[in-house]
Amino acid sequence: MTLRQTQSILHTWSGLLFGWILFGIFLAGTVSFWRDEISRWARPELAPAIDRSAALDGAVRFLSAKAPGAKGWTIALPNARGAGTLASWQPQPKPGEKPRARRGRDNQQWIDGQGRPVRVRATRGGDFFYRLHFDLYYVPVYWARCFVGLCAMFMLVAIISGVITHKKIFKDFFTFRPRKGQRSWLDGHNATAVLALPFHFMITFTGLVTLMGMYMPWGAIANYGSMPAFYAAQSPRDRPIERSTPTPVPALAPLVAAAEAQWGAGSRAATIRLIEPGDVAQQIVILRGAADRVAASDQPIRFDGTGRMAQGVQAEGAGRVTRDALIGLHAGRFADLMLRWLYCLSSLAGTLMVASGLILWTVKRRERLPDPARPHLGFRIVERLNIAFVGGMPLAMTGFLWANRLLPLATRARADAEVNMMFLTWALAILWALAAPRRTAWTGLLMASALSLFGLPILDLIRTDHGLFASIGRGDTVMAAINLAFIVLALAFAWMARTAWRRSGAVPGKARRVRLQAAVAQ
Amino acid sequence: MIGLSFLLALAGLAAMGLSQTQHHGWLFHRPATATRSARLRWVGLLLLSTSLLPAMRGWGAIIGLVGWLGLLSLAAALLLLARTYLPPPPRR
Repeated sequence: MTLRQTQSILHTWSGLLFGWILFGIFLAGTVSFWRDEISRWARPELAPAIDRSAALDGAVRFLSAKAPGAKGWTIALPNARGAGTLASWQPQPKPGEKPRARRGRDNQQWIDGQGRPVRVRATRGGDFFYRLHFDLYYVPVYWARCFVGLCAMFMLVAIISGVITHKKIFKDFFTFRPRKGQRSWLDGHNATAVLALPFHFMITFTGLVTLMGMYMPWGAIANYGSMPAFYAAQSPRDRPIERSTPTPVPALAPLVAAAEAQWGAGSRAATIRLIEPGDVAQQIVILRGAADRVAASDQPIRFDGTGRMAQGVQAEGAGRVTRDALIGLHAGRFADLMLRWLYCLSSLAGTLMVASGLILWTVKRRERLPDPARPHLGFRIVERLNIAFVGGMPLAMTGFLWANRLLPLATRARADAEVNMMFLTWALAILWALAAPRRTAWTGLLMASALSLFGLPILDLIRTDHGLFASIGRGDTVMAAINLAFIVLALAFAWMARTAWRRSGAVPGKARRVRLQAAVAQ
Repeated sequence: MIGLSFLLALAGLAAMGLSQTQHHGWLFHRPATATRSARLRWVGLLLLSTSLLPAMRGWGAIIGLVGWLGLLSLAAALLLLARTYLPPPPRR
């Protein structure tokens, strides 16, 4: 067996076994490049933030009234792509309670661009897809991340073995031969893989780096004794403060300005934490946003209760900067709009690469089946799982978006209900994928996704004041762009549905045999 | 600057593609001579390398390198689509 043959087998089977989860990881990761934009869409109550100091004052005013003696306040400012400031508070722990036990979604309030509290629907917005990308759902986070890491490792295996397997990378660089069955699937798989190869390699490798402390903790353990000790050395815990004399909270805007001056031009504060706010010993920590550089770290700056800078930016070691740069490269938080689109398109190519690879497995084998009308069990399992994941997951994601718009605002645990709606949609899609004939199953799911996506902007147009035209009129480009994106995606899915219907009509193996026989007879 | 980088990358990749027999034949209706093929490859490589500079000017050196690789992918994808779906130019 030659090297190429062994790599081909490795590529086929590692790609197949991990392909379904990798498809989900890729798809969720792709939409996560628009995490802030999706969150904006999911919380239409919030207009783009305008006045940062007003928002800051409003947050402090709200927290002073709502949680004056709290253990901590956190004010999350929007970045340039987001809207709304999130003010949250951490109550004093009751005796005997773990300090972190009562941090929850109950203790938070959105503040608008003018500093007024706004009632916003409970939703996880774009954060949900971001978490889904590496935490999955309904599974303990630790095991999910282990599993995602394993999948990413095999993605790396598939990329390298795929490059070795591919005979004519340069010769076939610009080659795509449509309407030729297996040939076209292979061309498509190669094109989506090769044309964005630097991206695929980078995103898989840096993805592993994001959780390297978890996957390979031994280096840190050897040097620090344990992982908790390592984390504590990286970001020192707040010293406990005994509350004594009430003191007003200092004005935060000048502190933010001072912090940004120290970080340097173009920097932007992301989060402000107040420890024992309103006490004479209070501390204020300001954390840096990630949008202005690749190697993004929090670079906390600490102020005391009088507003004096107590601790500036700490020096960072080369190892840490390297890790931060690799993670920054993965998340692309530094990307401007143009670069964000390049990230999104490359990632979309990756998603299509995984999907076409999965489908190629069946296309390649269908013609060689003894009886294409009655494939063996293994083939049927792969075929149905392909439909369930590649056809079902996009539809399920639109289910989440619909739940965001349709669930009543008073629903109990509404944010979780949205997620459950997504998985309920997926469960129905999987049932459909198992029950319907192959051609109907594919076309049905793709068409359902198209209709579902097309319905979203229509729903907003009819029922709300933040529909497409209203958003354009108001100059709210993000809201308008997302509505347009839904329409474009709907058209893409409709095209895929049409293609699936036309091209998977008869059993291809048989059709081809008939054609060949006719050709021979002539 | 970024637009310039993209155009240079597009031209460079196109020249490198045209150095290959099947694409040269599609556009010019005749095979490329060995000299012409080599020349196209070198011109393409030169344009492609040059395209890095404006990307680094526009985005800054570090982000520019990241963005440039993205531009290359986009340019290559557009060329592939054009080669696949555009009709070849008429014979003169």
